[in-house]
Amino acid sequence: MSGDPGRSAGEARARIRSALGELVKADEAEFGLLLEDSGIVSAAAGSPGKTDPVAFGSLASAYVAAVSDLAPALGGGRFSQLLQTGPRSRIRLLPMPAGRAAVLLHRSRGATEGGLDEEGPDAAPLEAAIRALAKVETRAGDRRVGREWIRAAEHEIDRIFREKS
Amino acid sequence: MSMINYASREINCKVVYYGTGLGGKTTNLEYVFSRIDPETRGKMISLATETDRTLFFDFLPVDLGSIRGFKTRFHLYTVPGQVYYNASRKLILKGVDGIIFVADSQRHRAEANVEAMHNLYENLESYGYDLSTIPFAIQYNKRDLDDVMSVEEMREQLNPGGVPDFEAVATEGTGVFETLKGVSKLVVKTLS
Repeated sequence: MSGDPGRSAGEARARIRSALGELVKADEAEFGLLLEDSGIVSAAAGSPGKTDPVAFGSLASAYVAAVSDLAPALGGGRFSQLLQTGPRSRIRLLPMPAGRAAVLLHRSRGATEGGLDEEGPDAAPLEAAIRALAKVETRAGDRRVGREWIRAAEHEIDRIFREKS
Repeated sequence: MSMINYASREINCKVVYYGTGLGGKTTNLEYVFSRIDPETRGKMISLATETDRTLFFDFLPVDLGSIRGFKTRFHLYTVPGQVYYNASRKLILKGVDGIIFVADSQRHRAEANVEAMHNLYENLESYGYDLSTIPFAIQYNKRDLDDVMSVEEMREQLNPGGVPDFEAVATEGTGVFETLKGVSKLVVKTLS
């Protein structure tokens, strides 16, 4: 990592994307998302197909948040993973450091196909990449946009948030 | 708290509608969904009970398009207003960038509004958030009904700090976009 916080954060994010891609491959998933605790998708890997990643991410994130809050009631610190199987797809949700979560979507290949294996892929490289980002991430350094951007955004807000004609 | 992702050139902002049960939070979101260009909005998700009361949240992503090279998106959420769903309300506040408090103007809902406002402060505090540092606006909804409090009375009760406030009749769309625009502009200003 370099001494420049912005560059270091960029490198850490690249490492996260790479680790998420590896996780998707290792789990033989179609695609994967890394979710912030706010429900926002911060990284994606693989092909979402017809799935809307934003809607999917918000629901998965809410699911993770609810289960995380239930975990202490079950006597645990945090849940280890969640598996859900449907007729067409299956998902694996993995808690990550810093309140994040990874969600991996698998398409079913046939009716006889079994569920996801409970052991799951090795998520350690992704966890390490997230921890590395947390070390170099600074709110201010990450948040800056120029005045021109603000003016353009305000213009778009006026344009979008109005009655359609 | 808004996330600027330089690698993917994306900016995402989370705005939450908060307030007492049956105050009109979902109605605000439904109105936005029905009136903005379908090209700019994603799918609206409503996790509601059989009687259409919000159970967990409503969610509407709105795409502002590419602004100076950054794909910019607002994520609009409502929380369930019913008192006993506090755990859900608290979860939805995680990572919030802007808050719209929807107050019910009917006189008999005054106490419920105050209670919901206290609940907002408490829930934010539990995450270490300070409402005075978060873009925040209040909407006095249901101005068309009988026996509503005056705006001055409501300001005294709910808005002593003088944050931006708006009168609304969400069922008709009055004040809905004004409120959303007000908070959205405050949110983008925090990014500079």
